[in-house]
Amino acid sequence: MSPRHMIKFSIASVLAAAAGQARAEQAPPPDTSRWACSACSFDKGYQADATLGAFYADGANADSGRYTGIDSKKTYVDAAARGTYAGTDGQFASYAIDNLGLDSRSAAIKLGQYGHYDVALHYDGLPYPRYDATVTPYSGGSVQTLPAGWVVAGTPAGMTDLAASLHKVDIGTLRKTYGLSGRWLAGHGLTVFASFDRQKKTGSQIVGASFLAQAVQLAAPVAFTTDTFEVGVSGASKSFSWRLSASDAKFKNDDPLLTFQNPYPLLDGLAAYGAVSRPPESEARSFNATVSAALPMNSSVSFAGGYSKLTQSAALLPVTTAPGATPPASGFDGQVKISHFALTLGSRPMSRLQLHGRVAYDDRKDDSNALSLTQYVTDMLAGPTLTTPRFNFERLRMDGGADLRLLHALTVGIGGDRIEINRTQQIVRHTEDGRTYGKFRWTPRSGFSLTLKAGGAHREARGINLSYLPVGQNPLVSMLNLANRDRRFVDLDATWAATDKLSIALQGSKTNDSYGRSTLGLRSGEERRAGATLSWTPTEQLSFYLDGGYQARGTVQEGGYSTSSAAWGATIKDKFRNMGLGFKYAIERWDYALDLAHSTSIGETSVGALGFPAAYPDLGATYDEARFSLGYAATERLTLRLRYIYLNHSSLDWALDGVGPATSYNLLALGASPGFHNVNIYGLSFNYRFGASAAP
Amino acid sequence: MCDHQPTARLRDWALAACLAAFSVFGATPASAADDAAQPVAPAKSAYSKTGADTCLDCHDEAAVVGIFKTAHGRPTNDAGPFGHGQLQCEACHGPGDAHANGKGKSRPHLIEFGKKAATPKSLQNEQCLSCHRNSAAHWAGNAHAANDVSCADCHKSHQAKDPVREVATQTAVCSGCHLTHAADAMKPSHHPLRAGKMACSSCHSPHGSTGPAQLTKNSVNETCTSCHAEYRGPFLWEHAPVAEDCGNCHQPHGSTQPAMLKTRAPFLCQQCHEVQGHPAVSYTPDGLPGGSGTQQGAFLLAGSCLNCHSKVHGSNHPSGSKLMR
Repeated sequence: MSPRHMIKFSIASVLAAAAGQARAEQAPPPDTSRWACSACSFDKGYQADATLGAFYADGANADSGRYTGIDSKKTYVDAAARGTYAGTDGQFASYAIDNLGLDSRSAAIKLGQYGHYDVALHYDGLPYPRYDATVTPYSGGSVQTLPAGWVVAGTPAGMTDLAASLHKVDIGTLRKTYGLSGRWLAGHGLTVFASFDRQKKTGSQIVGASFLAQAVQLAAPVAFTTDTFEVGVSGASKSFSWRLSASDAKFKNDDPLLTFQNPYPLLDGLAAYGAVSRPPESEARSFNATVSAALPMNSSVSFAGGYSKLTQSAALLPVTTAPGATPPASGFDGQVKISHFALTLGSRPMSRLQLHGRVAYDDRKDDSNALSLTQYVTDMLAGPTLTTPRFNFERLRMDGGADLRLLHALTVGIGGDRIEINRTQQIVRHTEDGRTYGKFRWTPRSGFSLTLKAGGAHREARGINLSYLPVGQNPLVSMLNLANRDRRFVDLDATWAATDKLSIALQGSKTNDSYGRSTLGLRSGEERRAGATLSWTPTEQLSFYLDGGYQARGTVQEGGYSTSSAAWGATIKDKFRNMGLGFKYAIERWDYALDLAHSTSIGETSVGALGFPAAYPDLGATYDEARFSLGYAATERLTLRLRYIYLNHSSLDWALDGVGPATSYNLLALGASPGFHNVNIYGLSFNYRFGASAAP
Repeated sequence: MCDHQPTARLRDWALAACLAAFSVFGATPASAADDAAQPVAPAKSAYSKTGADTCLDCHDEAAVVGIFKTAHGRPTNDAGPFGHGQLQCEACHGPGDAHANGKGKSRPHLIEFGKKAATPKSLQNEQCLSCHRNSAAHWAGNAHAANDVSCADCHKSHQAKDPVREVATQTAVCSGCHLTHAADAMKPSHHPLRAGKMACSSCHSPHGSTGPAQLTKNSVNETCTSCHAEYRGPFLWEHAPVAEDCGNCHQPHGSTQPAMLKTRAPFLCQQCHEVQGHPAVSYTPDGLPGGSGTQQGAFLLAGSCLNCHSKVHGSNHPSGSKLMR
């Protein structure tokens, strides 16, 4: 038999074997007329519980309030409620209100009829306070001015009015999201859905601005609103599903321009004010369609297509802050069109074999009108006229793999992926990034799995176009995302559910990157990671967990003016460790819970002439967290709960440590300090359960 | 066929050998024997005589009857397993007559769910997907399917509130396997997962998707800008790596550097920008307060490059070519 015949024969035998592997025959459908379900304890009526109490946060500040809203040393109301209603005709309702006394409060209401429709309303607050000890001499919102009679100076230290003019300004935002969504289950697997979200972000953020090489940090107002509307329809049958949707997301900004007074000397003919643009109003319209079908031999295929159009038609800003300055053109017709297509195939033609593959294509086409604009460098000097570059790219992603169970407990697999990117108006026109790997999985017993995966990747930059090299840019530099790169990696994953009560998981990885064919920029990178977790539930009343992790990563880069060799190097190493443990215990009317967490990160940076690196002070951050909760069920419905939470964060950051408004030679800073908090929270709350029967 | 080139012949033989080996090892129909060290498929059985009442005679513990507090356990939900005419417990666990009437060690298994279940994960998943085809259109071919993850590894269908479907508790479920990503959330700069204000599924679709890394949207940028719309653009002056992929500079799972950056400025910026003048300068510790290079202050301290080039995500100012305005 010739090889070609043997191939055909083998393929035929594989297909025949696979095709013969029909699913186990289903039992005939039963007569369910006597299936009364009389022992079924169906949920019905109204059930709810409400929590009311208070907690005192000693030592809280902006740093501790990030995402939680616990940002002040004070007493907070601890209130929450949730409830459900189940009607006899399939109607249901539920609500959940959390963190009512905090800026992180959230609320959700859902109601509907099972199998017919549902409607949901939600609100969510996300506080992001950053600094509460920052100071500035500026006043105002989108136009920031210095105090009357301000005495300019070449350096902040020389600004004689500075110290007396400084006043506190908080930096941080609060994001509020309001949402409404609904679904109508029209029958025959057909679902119609719609949703609307309004996201409002308000507050302030740090924005840097400058006059040539003299900079200021400003507390810029934030007043962003994003409205997103989506509508669609989907359908599903036993072996086929599809989904069509359209969405529109409008972004609005109340302050498209931030104008600020120049605190530095007004050199000949230079401006007294500068201006920085803020995010412009924009809109994104998208259409997406997906279809998925089950194929013979335990296979399925799905196809997705998407088209988005990003537009911006905000009025152009004036070229300078000079009185009477006008926009340089009538408008900017910003238009970016994005297409996305993906075809995915998954197959398990036999119990031993699993195949998967995908091809995805993305196209970003920037059809915005290119404008030729004279550059007024920091509102002072008329510079060159430049044309706004429009970046287009096409990206093709392909990935696939096969896993074959060779032996009862051993599965081997191979796979890979490949990304090809074609760009316009960039130095590197074409990038190819290919990755291949092999893996084996050992599963000697149910609940145990050990997977080892190793491989390599190679990124190649082609079609270098030096005409897009910025003036003065060193042509030898290997750019972060455009450089040739060789990567080797190995991943290890192990999980062991030793018993129903004990499970252990381990994870580790190592990656080495080499940018050896580059002279400047990134030269090498390395990352090592490990993590482990153990959970043990000896009884239904008692459970423990323990977890930990480690990461070390580093990069080496080089730089310099010369086009022949590097002049200096930077070595950056970051290390991170984390650990957590805790338990839960319930006995009779009491329940206890304790969670402890600790993490440390250290950043080592050395920069200097090649062979003579100078070390920066270490960057560092330490988090410690302890949460203890003690509950007492006074009655079947009433529970009292005591809580104690300890939160500690300390950090070292050479970019912020000791950098006040007047510290730097050429930066009027806001004086932001590295994050720090040391908070003790004491809380007492009552939880009462309402309704027909006490919830478990 | 005899005029094959040597390389073509070698290729054909290699392929033939692979396929022959595959035919031996792989093309065997599934059987319980195959799974000697693996889970086993349940035995064939008829349905029970009285449905759930048969099951609840023995299985009346809280962990089982919790299903009556879920959408699955509603008698008024015609599409659910306890709806009118549906197969109740046996809709998911399979026909149970043999199990109900078996005794001792000879009692046959039903279809079981979970990490320690005797039922093969592919069969577990088939049970779920037979109804939930719509929500798992991209399941086949996604990383979870390829790594033999079962629906019940993540979902607790008998619990009133499935932890993986709650924003506040989902992260803990995902962390059970994704240990290193869970650790990332403890880094100084992170998304609000540990605060319970965001879930892994805010960005990722665990059932598969058409985007990279199982993202909910078609691309990294589309996913990021669904919350961070201020960076979406289009801008008058764009920054090419930003338009291409937010992940060029940011580590979305968490970072030891500010703003979830891979490396802080100025070094991150200098990995691309070596323009003669200040971008090509070696910023040494001399530029720190009290050092001999105090004129480097604005280039190094506080926001570093962003003290002046604050519009790194794109500028809408007519003079914004340097992303300074």
